[in-house]
Amino acid sequence: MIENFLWRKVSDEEKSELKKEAKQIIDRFADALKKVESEISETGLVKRDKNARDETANECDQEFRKIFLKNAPKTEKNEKGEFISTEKGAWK
Amino acid sequence: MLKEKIGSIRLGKLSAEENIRHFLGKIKNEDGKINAFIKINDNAIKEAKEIDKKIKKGKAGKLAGLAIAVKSNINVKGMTASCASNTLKNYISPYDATVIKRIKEEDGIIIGMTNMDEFACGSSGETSAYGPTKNPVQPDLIPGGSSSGSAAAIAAGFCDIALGSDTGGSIRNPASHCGVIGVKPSYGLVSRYGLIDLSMSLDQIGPFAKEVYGAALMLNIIARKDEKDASTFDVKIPDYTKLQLETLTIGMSDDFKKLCDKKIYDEAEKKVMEVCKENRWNLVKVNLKHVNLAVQAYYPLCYVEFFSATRRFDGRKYGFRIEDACGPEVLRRIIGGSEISKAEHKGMHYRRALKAKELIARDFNEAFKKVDIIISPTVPRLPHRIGDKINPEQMYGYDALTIPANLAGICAISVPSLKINNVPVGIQIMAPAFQEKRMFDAGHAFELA
Repeated sequence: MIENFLWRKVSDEEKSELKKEAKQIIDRFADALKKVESEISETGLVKRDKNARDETANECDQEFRKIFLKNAPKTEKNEKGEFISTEKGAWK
Repeated sequence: MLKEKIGSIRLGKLSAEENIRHFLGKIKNEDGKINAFIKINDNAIKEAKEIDKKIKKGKAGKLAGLAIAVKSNINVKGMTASCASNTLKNYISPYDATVIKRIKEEDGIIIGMTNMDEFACGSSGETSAYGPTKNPVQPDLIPGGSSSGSAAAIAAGFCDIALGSDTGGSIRNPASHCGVIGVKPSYGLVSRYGLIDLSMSLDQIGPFAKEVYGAALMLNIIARKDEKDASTFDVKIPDYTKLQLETLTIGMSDDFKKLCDKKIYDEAEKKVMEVCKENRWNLVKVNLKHVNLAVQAYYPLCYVEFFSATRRFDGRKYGFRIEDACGPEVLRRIIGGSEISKAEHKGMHYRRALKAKELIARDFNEAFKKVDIIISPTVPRLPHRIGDKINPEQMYGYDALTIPANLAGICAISVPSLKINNVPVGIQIMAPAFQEKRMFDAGHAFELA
């Protein structure tokens, strides 16, 4: 268990202790924050309406889109148009 | 008095070289006991001589000949930016941070890089891989952190002005414990370009000084929109140094009182009432009912953003792999951030913290409709002895009164106002975002009281 906050090299034993402790801290903090769930909805955070994503996609600057796709190492096309392919698993 | 010193330098009564030699001598003789500096600028005297030539020609800037100490997480070209960590112990900055560029344009002289909590992870100044900074007021006590060396350098008289960074109180907390002025500017007022970040959505660079005037002068130099930092705002910057005594409505909150040691809060409240009476200010109570969640909201945000920020320290481009070279507190935050990232699909940590952050910001917005500034003590408890046993949540509690300003994006200053058991205690003055002038004016009133 950590005695104080002075700098020291971390041993393997202390490393696993820190992992346990960090998890306990974040869980306790998450519990304490539980009550905010009922006080604020997510829409208040990001201020977007229900269809904002589709609208934004339709309003995309085409020049930006062209350069963005050109920068990408790999792109693919489907019925909706060209898109960036960042990762492809062996299952595909 | 800094204003008088600047006048003397301009008039040639004191040269930049003499000023720098004075500080270098003092650091050489006394910093062995304080450990405020990690690296001294070997070119400082040479730079001072050049500035003396400019002064003689009448072409010197606003900081001409002043000695500026810089926290070791801000890039100064040619100096080490180690973040007080073995991870970056050999890292030499290849460029100047925007704030440094602006200081140099005004002929300030960087005297050295200061000690700090490793990667700004700490509230005590103890987690540095270069050893703890001592509090110049009482060397067996912590100076506070994470900008421990910058606060100590001002308190010990090793420089004229210092820079620190404040993510959850890292400027105001050590300013309070060391008995100096410390300012956290509004988020977006000062460029973070060249700051090695702890938590990018909360970090701000700000000044330390002996007097409000010095901090105001420095903020006037470094505050401005920067194209290299997209989070900076294009706001009108008034002359902060024209300090006035205005008529204000002051808010204090019992929600802060609940988080604070009783003696500290009572003494601070008494002081505020005195100052209000002297200045004919109106004092009212405000409701900040979510500030009791500030610590619990701050750390998940900080853990995750720090985890993300440290992924570049993989030992491939520079330095050493952070997980192999860092101390326990840095590792705890990296592990915590990693755990949150893995578990975030449930939205229990980061998303909840963002919601609490928003509620705290709304509380402040509402309160500032009724009052001009909000005042509390800066730190809820007195500093512990260096090396004392303390658990992480007790340590995180040091910032319970300062974190809310970071979460709300507003500005705040710590002004030394009290002494309890011979330990300095700061009063924190918070003002709405980009109302730094009002914050400095109120700070000046406390300074005079």
